Amino acid sequence: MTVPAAVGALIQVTLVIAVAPILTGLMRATRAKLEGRAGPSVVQPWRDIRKLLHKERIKPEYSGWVFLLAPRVLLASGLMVVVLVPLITTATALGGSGDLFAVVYLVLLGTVFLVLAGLDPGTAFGGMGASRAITVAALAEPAFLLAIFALSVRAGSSSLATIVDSVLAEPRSLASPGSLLALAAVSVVVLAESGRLPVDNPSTHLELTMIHESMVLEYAGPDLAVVELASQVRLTIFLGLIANLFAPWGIAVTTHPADLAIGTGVVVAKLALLGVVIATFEVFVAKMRLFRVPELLTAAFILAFLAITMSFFLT
Amino acid sequence: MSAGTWGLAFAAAAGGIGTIAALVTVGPTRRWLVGILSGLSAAAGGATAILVLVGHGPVTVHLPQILPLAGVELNLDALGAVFVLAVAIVALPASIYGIGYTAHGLNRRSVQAMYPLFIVSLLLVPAAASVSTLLLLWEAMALTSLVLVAAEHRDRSEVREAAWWYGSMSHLSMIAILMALVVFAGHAPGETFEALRMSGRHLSSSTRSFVFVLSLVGFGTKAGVVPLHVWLPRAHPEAPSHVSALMSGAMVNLGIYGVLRVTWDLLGGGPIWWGITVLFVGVTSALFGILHALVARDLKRLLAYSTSENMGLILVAVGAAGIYSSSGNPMLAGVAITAALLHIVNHAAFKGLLFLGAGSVVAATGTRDLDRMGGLLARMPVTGAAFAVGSLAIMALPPFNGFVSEWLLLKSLVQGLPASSVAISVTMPIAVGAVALTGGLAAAAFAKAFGTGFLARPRSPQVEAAAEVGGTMQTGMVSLAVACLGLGLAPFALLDVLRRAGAALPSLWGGEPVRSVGVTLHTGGLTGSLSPLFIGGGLILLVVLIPVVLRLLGVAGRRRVAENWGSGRSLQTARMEYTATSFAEPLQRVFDDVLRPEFDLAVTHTAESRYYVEAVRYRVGIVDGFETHVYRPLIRVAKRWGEMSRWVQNGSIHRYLAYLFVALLIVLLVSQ
Amino acid sequence: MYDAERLGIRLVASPRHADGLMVTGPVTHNMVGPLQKTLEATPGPKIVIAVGDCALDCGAFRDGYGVAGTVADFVPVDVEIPGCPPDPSAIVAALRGLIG
Repeated sequence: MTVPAAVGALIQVTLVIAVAPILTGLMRATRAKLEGRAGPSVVQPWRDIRKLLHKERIKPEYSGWVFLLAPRVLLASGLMVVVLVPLITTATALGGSGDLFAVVYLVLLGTVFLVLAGLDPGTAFGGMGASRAITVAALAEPAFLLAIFALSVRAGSSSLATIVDSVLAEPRSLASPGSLLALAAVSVVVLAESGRLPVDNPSTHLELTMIHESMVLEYAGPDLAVVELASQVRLTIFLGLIANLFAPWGIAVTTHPADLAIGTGVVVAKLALLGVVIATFEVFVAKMRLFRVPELLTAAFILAFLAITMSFFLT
Repeated sequence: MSAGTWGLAFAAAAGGIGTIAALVTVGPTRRWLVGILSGLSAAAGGATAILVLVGHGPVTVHLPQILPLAGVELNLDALGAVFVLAVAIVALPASIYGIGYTAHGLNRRSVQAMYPLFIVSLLLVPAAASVSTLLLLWEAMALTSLVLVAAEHRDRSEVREAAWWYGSMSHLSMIAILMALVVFAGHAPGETFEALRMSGRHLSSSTRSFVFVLSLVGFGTKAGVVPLHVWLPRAHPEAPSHVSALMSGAMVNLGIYGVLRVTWDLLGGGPIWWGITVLFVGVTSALFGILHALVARDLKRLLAYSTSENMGLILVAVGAAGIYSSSGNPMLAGVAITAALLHIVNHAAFKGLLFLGAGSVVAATGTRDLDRMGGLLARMPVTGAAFAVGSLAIMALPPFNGFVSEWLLLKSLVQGLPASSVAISVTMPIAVGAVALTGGLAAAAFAKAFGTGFLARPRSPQVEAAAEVGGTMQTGMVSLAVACLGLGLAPFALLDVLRRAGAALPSLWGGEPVRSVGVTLHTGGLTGSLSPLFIGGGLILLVVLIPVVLRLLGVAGRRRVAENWGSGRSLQTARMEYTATSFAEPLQRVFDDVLRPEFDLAVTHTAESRYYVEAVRYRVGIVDGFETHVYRPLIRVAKRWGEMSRWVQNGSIHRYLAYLFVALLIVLLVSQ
Repeated sequence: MYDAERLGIRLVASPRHADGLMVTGPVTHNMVGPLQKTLEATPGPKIVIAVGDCALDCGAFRDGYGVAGTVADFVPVDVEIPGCPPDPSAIVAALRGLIG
């Protein structure tokens, strides 16, 4: 692990931690504006996190170390993914330590711990959220892995840097049916895994409609701050992956400071754009019934499968 | 005698002395002696395996005089050594665990005497180098394990039924293996594996296919692949837990060993349809196994079905290796076979750990029903932590060992495309989809097992009274948990070892498929790399750092303990928690057509009026589809045959003499 | 126009995520326990806002058979917003007074 690579990784982590709450704030503000309300300021999530850090810490009666460890594991797995994924630059040697498959399993690690944390306090809603969340995660996994397969076939490797480089080298390949189908599949999976509409409503107060929120009902104070930050970081990672796998122009290919600065600006702009698009989409779509979500994820699976067969038959 | 031969001899001797000790001593002395001697036997076997794997060369033992007609031929090469290592990894902790576990009523002479023999047979089967030796050791393994499965047959009737199923399927598989190997040996100059290997390529293709199919059926039954798996979910739960650990972690591997040895070593590989068949058998096993694990209510039944699933994954890797090598792609075949071997070793570690944990739970609470458990993490902290490690490992999550082998498996399947062969282009995406779905469902199944079994509050009074198990049982579990973490962070230590093992199958090997550079694994041609140490270590480091950072930001340390937030409800009981069945219910609904649950709803009305309900009884059950639709009809047919043939065998001695006379006449006529 | 979110105030799903409770209406016998549990579940520092005449002094329900008392009888109240019903701008003004 060379020094420039370590510096690049550190910059990426800092950037993502700084930007993630602002991205969520931007999405909430967009939604509010489109719904005709004045809406919160874009940096409100950061103020929320700062406030939460100084609140009282609470541990529910019957929970154990799993409940206390879960926020940390959620954030740690998210940050680990940030280290591995090329957001600002592809020239980090740390990219050799993990590829897209490793990213999928790191995300699953966070999800599993959150599910266990939902079960730990022994509340009914926590268990319900946990059961639903693991259903969504289990069914999103095949779609996700098959979509990655489709992308790797195109690039000849599942290493993220290689995939990004291959798209930069041959922009035409993005217009191929395989890539478009893979984009559709990945978009559905990202909406499912990050808990956005139409799979899960992140701003609902009705427990029976919650998936992600009901698992965190018992968290308070600094633990809640860590969970919130971790969820925001995960959303940022997913959007960053979509941005850089399907529209990587502007990403730095060296660790030259000027390139890094440009890369940073470009990725922030892309994240903002994707955030606004998703928030707009959320205003116009309604949440799906829980038992229709498997159908949606099966559709994503079939799209990804078609993406692979397309890349075989059309190359 | 070389060091390896000494090792094998010591292992056999320790096992023999263990059996004698079990027959001669009583009480705690018996437990300790059997445990220690079995452990020593396992350790000796493991050491021999390591010797072979670090380049010492194969260990050969030649004892022509021991048995009439054929001697005992043992040849432990690198491939067999991997399987012996997997056995040793489970057997040593299981034996130590057994010291404490058998104190709860299992310290009987028959059980304790069979246990060391079981371990010795497990260690020696991969070393067998002739057909008769293999069959002899195989039968020894089957018989000793049958006695061990039936250990508690006086206490429960399910144990008897389980033993019947296990015994019958075991012997049916024996017949299939016998036919395959005898036909093979019939066409070869001798019955040693050397002779078979020399003549393997020169057999007619129909003979080769016959041998392949029969050995897949026979060895596949032992490995628990669908549709020959029906004995697994019955026998593994009913056996004592340290025996279940051995059966699931060590014995089912030997089914895979048989397939690898006969098909790709002795027969020398075959046409592409062999690989495709193995891959599809693997895909079916994996999906069917994990679906039934997901909806299982009995903890050990869940683990048993999960074994079927993991064997399916290994067969997917083996089948992919076969497909690649038949399509002229030896490097990819090497990656796939490395993934298979690594998963075998990893599975031994985490499945053994899970069964030992389940055994502790059963010993402490007296129940296997997940819907009655809960809150065990607080009452049994060591068991709970060990089970957590095992669950995370089997879900293939970093930083544990399952992650690395699943990653390698996915890599080997993905690297096949783009390919010119239609077979590869169609099977690989299906395989990846199946492996991915299995992975997701496995996460759900084990989140259920650990989450509802150990977290929250106890759902029944017998579980409330549970207490942590004794020291030897804890040692067994903790050592396997440490192994899971070590194999997860530093698998590159195993890579050299697996390279030698894979190279022992030249028909499946080419180039340097997986190398380790420093702490990173690279798959052939730098098309992908993974550093488990970096990812796992980084995760652990971050998890430790986050509270430190919080403390630096001025966050308070003490937490107030508060009542659960139940929307202000005044009475919150354990009955309001999600049970295991309800946790898996959404996923069960998705797979309704495959699982076909049986519903039974009985509503009792009050005597006074039909409009008032006194009680509602709702029962939902999921039975194994193959058992109801394939095996039970077959059993009915066999029973009817048996009844029909009773008139042939009616006990009259005159008739039997007549049969003898007729048979003698026929033999004389035919031999003219 | 009356959006409290622009002040940074959001309704959350669980008292554990909250900094304050807005209580409306008188406290009935059934709701005494839940009200106190909700306050206990909220992490400190926390505030209680009693909104409306009924919360302040039982309003029209003063001698109802199910009414146990006002909010201030059972939990310490930090901010009071009178009115039957209170004007939306009064609520927003009171909330703004809390922050700034």
